[in-house]
Amino acid sequence: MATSDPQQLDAHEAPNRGTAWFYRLLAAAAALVVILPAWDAGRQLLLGTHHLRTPSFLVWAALQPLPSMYNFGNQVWVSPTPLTDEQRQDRHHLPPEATTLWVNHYPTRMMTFGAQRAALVHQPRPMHYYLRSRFGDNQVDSHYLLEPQLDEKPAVIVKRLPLESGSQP
Amino acid sequence: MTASPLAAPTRELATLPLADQHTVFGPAPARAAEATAPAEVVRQAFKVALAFWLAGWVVKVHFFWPYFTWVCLDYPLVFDFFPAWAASPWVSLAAYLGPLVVGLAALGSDAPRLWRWACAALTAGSLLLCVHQNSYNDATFITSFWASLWMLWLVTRGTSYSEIAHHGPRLAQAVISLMFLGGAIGKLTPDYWNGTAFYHLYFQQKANFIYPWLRSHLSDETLLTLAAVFSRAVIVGEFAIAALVCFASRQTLLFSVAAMVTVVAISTNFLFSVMGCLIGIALAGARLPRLREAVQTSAATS
Repeated sequence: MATSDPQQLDAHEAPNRGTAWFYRLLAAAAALVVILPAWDAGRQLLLGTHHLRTPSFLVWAALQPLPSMYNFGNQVWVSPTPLTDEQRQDRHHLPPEATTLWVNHYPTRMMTFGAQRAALVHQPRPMHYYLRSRFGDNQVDSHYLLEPQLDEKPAVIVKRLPLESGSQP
Repeated sequence: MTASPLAAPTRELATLPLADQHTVFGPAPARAAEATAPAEVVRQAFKVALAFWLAGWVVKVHFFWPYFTWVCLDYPLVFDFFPAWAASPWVSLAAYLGPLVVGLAALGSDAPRLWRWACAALTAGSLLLCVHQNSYNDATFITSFWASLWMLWLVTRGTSYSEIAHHGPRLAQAVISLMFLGGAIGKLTPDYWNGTAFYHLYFQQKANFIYPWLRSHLSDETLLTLAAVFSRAVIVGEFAIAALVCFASRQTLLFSVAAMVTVVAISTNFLFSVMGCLIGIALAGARLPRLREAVQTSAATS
């Protein structure tokens, strides 16, 4: 709709089709952001997105555009040897080569992002990643093993291992 | 775990020169005469939003360039959660470089057709990076996606200046409010309300700004109390910015800009990569009410 009539600028007309769609998209995203955490399965699903553990990649990808900055309480433990629950509960019980820290979001970033994979190939040994995310009464724990592969083409294999305890999504 | 050179980007952003700076910070005298034309108001708003969007990506280019071109290519992760295309290092490289190249071209161009293609590329690139194995965790691409959708909306309105003037600021505020709503809801958990999460994330783990000084001068108990106060203030502040969508105006957009600049200042300058595009659409949206005056001036002189 082309206009140069100043009177029309003061009229609060209904949005055209493209504008209306943008409003609907924003409203739908806001509704999901508010509604999903309101029920238990929704909270588990959202926590699962931060652990790369949704029922499928498609579900995960559909939820990705929803803003989730600094969401949930996220802790990571990294160790060349497996850790017990007791060791993760008290940092003073951690072996010397293990480390723990809090992460603002996506604790899986500690293994998929940055130069960690290159470091693993150059110092070839498996590395265990224990992840914990909490939201309200819900908690998700995950255990990943990263194994450097030193064939003709270096790579790092990511495997999710079962945890002996902790809630699962 | 030793800090890798790619793990913690530290360069200051304050001195970063923005492309097309005269457009961002005010029209040149030669352009002042034509600044009242409605198309010029839209052009300036778009260029402001685009410049900040690009600045957000450029500010981390010294991290992302070696990451996408070296780490991801030479040390791929084999992870069966992601389909092949969402794990391909070439896809992440193209999704990062494509929008940068097309966006910079659009910044230097006055061709609306190129603006539309550029905004489509920005939207597609940031959406791809939101779901890619190499980049999904970086909030830069989530805010970039929504900000580029707003820019795409702006440059596809044509000469519907009434539509742009009325809905542009509201939609910009809605995008910003949605981002803060997501942040606020996800913090409604004891780890944030009692300050534990921020105590570790900021007061224990951060090595910049005031945090090392606080660690060396305050007791753990005091730090935890401070973290709880800080954490609750952040949650309330995020909900407040989310609520601004109900009162969207030039003033709420400028207030949002002030809040985002403050967040970057007290956190890490690298948060500009996340906030830059939102600051850009807020500044652009705040310019759009000038369309009313521009159309009136244009009608009076024609």
